[in-house]
Amino acid sequence: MVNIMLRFLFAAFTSIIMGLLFMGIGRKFIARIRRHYAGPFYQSFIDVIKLFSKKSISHNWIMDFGVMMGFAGIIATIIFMPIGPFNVFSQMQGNIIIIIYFMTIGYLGMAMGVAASGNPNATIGIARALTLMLGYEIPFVLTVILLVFANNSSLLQVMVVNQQGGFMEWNAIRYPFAFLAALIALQGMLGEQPFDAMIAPSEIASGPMVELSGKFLGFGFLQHAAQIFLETGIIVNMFLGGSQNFFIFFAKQLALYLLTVAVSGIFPRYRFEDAVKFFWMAPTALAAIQLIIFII
Amino acid sequence: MILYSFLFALLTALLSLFIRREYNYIRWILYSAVLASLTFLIYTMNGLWGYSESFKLLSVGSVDFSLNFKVTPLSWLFSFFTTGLSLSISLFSIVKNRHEESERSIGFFWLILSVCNIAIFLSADLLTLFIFWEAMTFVSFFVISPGWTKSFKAVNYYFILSILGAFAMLVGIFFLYSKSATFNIESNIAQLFVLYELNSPQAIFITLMFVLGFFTKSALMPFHIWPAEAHSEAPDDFSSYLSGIMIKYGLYGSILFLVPLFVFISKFSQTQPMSNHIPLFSHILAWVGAITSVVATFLAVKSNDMKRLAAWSTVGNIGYAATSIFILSSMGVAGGIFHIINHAIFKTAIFLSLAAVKYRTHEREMHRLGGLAYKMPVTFLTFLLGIIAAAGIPPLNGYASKWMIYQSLLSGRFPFLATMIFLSSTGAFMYLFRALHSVFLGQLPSKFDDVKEVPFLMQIPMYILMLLMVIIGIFPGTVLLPVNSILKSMNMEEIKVTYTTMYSMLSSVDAPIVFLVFAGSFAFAFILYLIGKPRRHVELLDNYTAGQDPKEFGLTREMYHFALKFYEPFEHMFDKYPRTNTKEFYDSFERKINETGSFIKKFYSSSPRSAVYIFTLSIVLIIIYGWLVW
Repeated sequence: MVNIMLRFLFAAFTSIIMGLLFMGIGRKFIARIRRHYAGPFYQSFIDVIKLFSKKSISHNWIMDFGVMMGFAGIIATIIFMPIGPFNVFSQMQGNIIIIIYFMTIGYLGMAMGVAASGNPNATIGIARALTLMLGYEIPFVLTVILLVFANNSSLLQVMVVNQQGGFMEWNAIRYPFAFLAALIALQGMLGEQPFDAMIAPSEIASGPMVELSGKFLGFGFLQHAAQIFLETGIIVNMFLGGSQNFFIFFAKQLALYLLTVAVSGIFPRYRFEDAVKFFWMAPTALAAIQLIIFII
Repeated sequence: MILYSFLFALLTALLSLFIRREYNYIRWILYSAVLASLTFLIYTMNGLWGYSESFKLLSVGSVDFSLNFKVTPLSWLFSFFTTGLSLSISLFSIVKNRHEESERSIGFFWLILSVCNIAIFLSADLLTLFIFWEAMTFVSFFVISPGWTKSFKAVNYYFILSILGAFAMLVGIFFLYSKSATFNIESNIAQLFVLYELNSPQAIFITLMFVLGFFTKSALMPFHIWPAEAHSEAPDDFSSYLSGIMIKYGLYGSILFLVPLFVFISKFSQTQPMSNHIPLFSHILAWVGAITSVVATFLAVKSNDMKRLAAWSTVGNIGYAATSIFILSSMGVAGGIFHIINHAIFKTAIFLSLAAVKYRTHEREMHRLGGLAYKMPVTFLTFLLGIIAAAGIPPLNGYASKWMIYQSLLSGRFPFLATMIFLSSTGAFMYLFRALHSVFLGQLPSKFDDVKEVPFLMQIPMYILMLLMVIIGIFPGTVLLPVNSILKSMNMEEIKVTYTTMYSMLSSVDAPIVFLVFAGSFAFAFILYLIGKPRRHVELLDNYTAGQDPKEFGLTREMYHFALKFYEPFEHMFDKYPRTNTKEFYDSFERKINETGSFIKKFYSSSPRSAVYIFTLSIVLIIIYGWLVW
């Protein structure tokens, strides 16, 4: 029991720390692309600590509860994901369907919390985010189905084991179209440009974040950090062969994250209904083609 | 025993008509007591598989027509859960109906309906099934529309479709009876299987008749429009009965009759076309289920009426269950049955909480509501847990059955069916959140400032349902172990399951661990929350308004609640594409029928002589037909 709790805490803290680190590096990276200056790479840590120590306002208990639940949902999902060689539980090593459904807790919690703040800007942002979710879920699920068929198991750990032995064995090389679809879906999942209509600072005042202050915004930060860690981690496990070494695993995640940041650095914002249409066209077609090739 | 309890319940219903209006809560307490005793009776029948009762109606020559009841694992599970849920709904109705105008007819017919409900599940042959099916259709007509104009219009869709379906089923039953000379279900399935080998088109026709009967009742495509009409216009507490329990009869019939038939065909037939190791017919029906769920999801996203939204969500869930059942693997059938039970529980919870909202506010349009969570916390929690279960989010019961459905679809290699189910599942999250936000979160309109939580007696069923959702979520075996005995009685392979763990070919899930992980992460978040500096509470309207003073431009709470046209841009995505409207189709069908009717009427009533001619001619035609055929 104590062992499980320690493993739980290890996974939770790793995800938060690495996620915040990725965020900081991403900021520096995008500053280099746009030729301006950014804070140090540990700026996100400072931000979170600062936010947690500032005073904050809340409108009702549902807002407190929702924001906590949003963060808890993402952490709970990370518990089921293999982090390099590390798994919290010996069975259920990355059951991908459980992971997909657990992620929704996070979205539901965050959505509930900010909707309870009573600000229409926040709710508009949530409506956009949920609509966008309907878009990127389809190509992502198609790639998941492909990998489940290919490995005859829905465990991420089995997928990792089946990719061992050099990068030619990686699913990214075996199923390039599906990898591409998953990358586009990842862009949407992380809410990076061009799929960031739900945040849209100049249009709806940062959307969901508009009423969050102090530690509530801190929770938002932490949730985003954990989400970066989670979603890049899933793709690394699925397509880039995971790793038996923590550092290589993190490096792969960072590379993926920097790729999405680089894409977001040069693209303008899509209207979100156009984004949904795009998701249902290009990446879905890619994933479906790969699936049909596999079945034949 | 079964028959006597039915007679007892019917007698109670009749006697209750004499209760005066001032004391109408006594009627509902009486009903709750009857339902409680029926639930207990059914509970005691657990394990008495094969116990049967027969009651002879009449004999024509050497042929006996009798009512036969039999307890099987399948019938036990369905009747137990449905009666238990009706008990919890009737507890809700005690207070709810105290000031209801037409509660006398609602209550009287509802109790008869509960009897029909049990009788449908316990019936041992097709004739008994059909008799109670018809009775249920007629009786439910009067409950949905107890003399209200609006609900009368709505109930017509339900009634006409149900009657058409029931008659199609009757045609199928008589065709089979003419071949097998018995109403017994097992021998009729065997007979139909033989017929598939001998005369395939006729067998397909008979099966299609049964499919029509079952699908109209369960509102699968293309009969999917009646729930949105009937569920939204029915009395509020009865909506939960309609949506949680009554819509399942079609799926029950499918599991009872069609699934064993298709399993037979897939095991032994060499002549029937197969696809993906299941009969093509069954595969098509699975697709019908998936398409129904997607269509219902998109229609739910569009609806602004909260009961209509929940009704569309019901249709979507029926779609999942149908897909899962018709892929015929034991995992699929088990997942389907499990989802039917789970859906009954969480949809009852959702509809009861909506009924509670309507009881206090008398509003159904979602954009007129808002912020009720701060006033009605228990109702809010019930609804929240209900939508968590309905969206298939762990750790409540909905995710367990959805997990099984996905496992069966993936291990049976149906990638595109699985994608469609995923699509409608994500869509379900979308529209359910919209309902949560528009009704319970956001700004509270000032006219609802003194809304109170519903009375304690109405909260009791909500507590029960919340507890059920959590318990089944943590211990899925409580339902899945009885489901296993159903699979055994259907001669299918049992699934591997314990009280806590579900196994499939692809992976396994330990439900208590899932729950503990969720609880642990929440505790982690809560500790972080405590570490942060304490928050200050601020009034809801004191909000970010882009730097303007709200009082200056006359901001009201109603204006600041974003609920109307929530997903409008999403709806506009489909504007370019041509749309088919099923409701318009049925309406135009109705107009055509009316035209034909008025034409015949004109002809018929022009002179008595022509009426006599038509009558004689039709008699002669019937005699000639009988001559030629027999």
